[in-house]
Amino acid sequence: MHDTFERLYSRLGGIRDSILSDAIMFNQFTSETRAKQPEQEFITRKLEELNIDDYEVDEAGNVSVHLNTTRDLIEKSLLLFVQIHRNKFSIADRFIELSAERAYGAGIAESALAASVLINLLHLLRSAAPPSGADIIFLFSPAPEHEGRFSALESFVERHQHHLAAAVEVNGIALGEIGYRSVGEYTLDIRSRTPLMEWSDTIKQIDAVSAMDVLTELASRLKSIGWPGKSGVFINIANLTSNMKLHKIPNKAMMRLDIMAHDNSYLDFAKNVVDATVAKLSKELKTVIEMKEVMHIPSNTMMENHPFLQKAIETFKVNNVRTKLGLINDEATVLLSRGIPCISTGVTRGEVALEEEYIEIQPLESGLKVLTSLIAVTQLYMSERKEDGTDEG
Amino acid sequence: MRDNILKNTFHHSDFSDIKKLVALKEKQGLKISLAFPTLNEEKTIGKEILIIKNELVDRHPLLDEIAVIDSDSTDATREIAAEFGANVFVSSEILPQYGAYRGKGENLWKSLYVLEGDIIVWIDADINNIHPKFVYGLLGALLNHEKLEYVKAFYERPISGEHGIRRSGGGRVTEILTRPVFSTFFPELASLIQPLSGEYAGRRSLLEQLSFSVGYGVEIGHLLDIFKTRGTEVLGQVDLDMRIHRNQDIRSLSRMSFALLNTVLKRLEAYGKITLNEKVNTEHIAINVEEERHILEKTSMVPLERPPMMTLEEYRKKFKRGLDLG
Repeated sequence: MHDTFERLYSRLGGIRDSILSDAIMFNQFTSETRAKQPEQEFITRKLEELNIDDYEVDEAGNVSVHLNTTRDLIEKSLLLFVQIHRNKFSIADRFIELSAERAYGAGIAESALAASVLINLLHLLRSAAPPSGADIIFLFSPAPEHEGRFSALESFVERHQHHLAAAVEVNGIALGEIGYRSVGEYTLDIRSRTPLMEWSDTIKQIDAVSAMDVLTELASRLKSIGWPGKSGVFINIANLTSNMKLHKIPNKAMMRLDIMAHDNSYLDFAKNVVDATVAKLSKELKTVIEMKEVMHIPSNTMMENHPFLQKAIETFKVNNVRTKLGLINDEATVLLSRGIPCISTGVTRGEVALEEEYIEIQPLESGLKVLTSLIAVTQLYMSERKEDGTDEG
Repeated sequence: MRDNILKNTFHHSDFSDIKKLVALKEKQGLKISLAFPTLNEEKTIGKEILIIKNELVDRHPLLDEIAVIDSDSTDATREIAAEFGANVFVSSEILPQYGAYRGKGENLWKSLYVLEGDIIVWIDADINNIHPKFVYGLLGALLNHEKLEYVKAFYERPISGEHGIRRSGGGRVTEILTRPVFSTFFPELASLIQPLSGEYAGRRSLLEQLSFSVGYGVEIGHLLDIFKTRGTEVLGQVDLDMRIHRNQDIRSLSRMSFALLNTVLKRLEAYGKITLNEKVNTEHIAINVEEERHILEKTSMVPLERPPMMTLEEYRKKFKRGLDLG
């Protein structure tokens, strides 16, 4: 099997341009089409063009392809997946500029690059020399923002969890960063309603507060709580808005709040503190504050000495890529929470910022080599588990 | 009777089966070349070459070569083009014995000498939303319809500027100058939706017999000459949906219109449609306002034309042609 992978390494440089080309087209043309699910349409069309017709699309919008040369249907598989986020930018902002060193443009460093890497790696493995004994599922999973963000991946993992030995999430620009633990998170929508007021009322009711006053006071109190240093609790005011235009006193306001913590006990503790703060403020101001839980993701992690993680770290070392252990995307918690070892890794370096987003072209080959090596060592990891009996199907 | 050009009007999706196009190309024993005329296009040229080469050379061998014919760009156009796999030529270094002019038409004319294809595709290098359809759409018409010899692109042309993209507009010179001229003198050509589009493909056997205006007039000159010598039956057009590109200011469009008008007048006279009693002015005159005074800005725009490539001995020798100007 390793001979096959050695042969693949020599062909990785050749797919650099295909990856860049598909990433640019993914970024630009998912905005031009009138398709309901343009990203899914792009991926399936591209797979068909590459003669990969045996893809499956499930009800949740997941597109998957099974590369199975073991001919053993109960063999455990490696899940190689990308999260496809809907690109929020307008057509005009999504054009990519290409220099000899970098590709610039909003969207390129995220789903566009990751999806393109997965498409081209799959094509290479299929067409070049499929490694015997490989059993890999390639998955493109849609990930809308906030509500329902995990549902597609969750439904896929739910159906396949007994066949998954390990998972690698491919992301764009975090080459060398191995994500292996997720942060716990609560997302809350908090609404405040107050009686409608005119400017003239403020003279009569000197203590009257607007709905916005209520929520800014709440935000201020939450941000001034002194959380224990090691708890890693962070209160993120993601959005604060009202129903009124300028020069009107808002009687309805809404705040979206994220509570984050590395540890589940601290996360629950922080949630209780937020609940209590809301209740206290509501009583003090004699006003209704409604709170709705939008999302709860418990924190999840793999032990740092987990053999899969150790093999991944070793792979980076062998390929001379400096590594840093870090956070994995929230979605990976779907796998970690089911006991499926999962890491995330990037394929190149770059930047995602409001003013500038880019990927570097030169490290791409190195990133692809690491990813391919990772597939090879995972196959090895899976066969070792089988041999020593730790994999009980 | 149905209009010939409308009869030969297609949509790029009619030809999206690229494997079929490759089979047609092989069956017809053709070589196909693509060239980008460039002048300081570093922002878009890399992407255009990368995408077209990846899809239409590496994945599907529809094109045999991709070249850039550059007018001495002062930015990184040539370096980027070479990095992503194009053959890069400096226009002034091609057939240097015939001198060098700066202009898109000059680059297209010289490309005929360095390119090897039986079919030549020319694509402007400033397209933001480049897609393989820009090439296979044009080629599809030629490969599927042997009678066609020259195929032009048309599309919606949103205006791209500081404030993003506006869906309407674009093609202003076409609607204000070209279509009225066609309607007046060459109504058979008025059904060309975007006669000035910078994306077109033709058979070498036709292109080598055409004169090339050095500057902006190259497209309209071609159309008038093809119409005069071959009629409208050989002309086709393909809908490419949308083309987003850098928008030109009104002053540039005015100069472009001036060049087009010169090219048209020359043809009208040559084809006996009008007689000019005196030489036309070759200076474009614009009016600037400086410190509340009107200042005339004159730009010399002497209309220059390159003769049909077939008239060059070097060309006939390279492509083993006898002198036959149709």
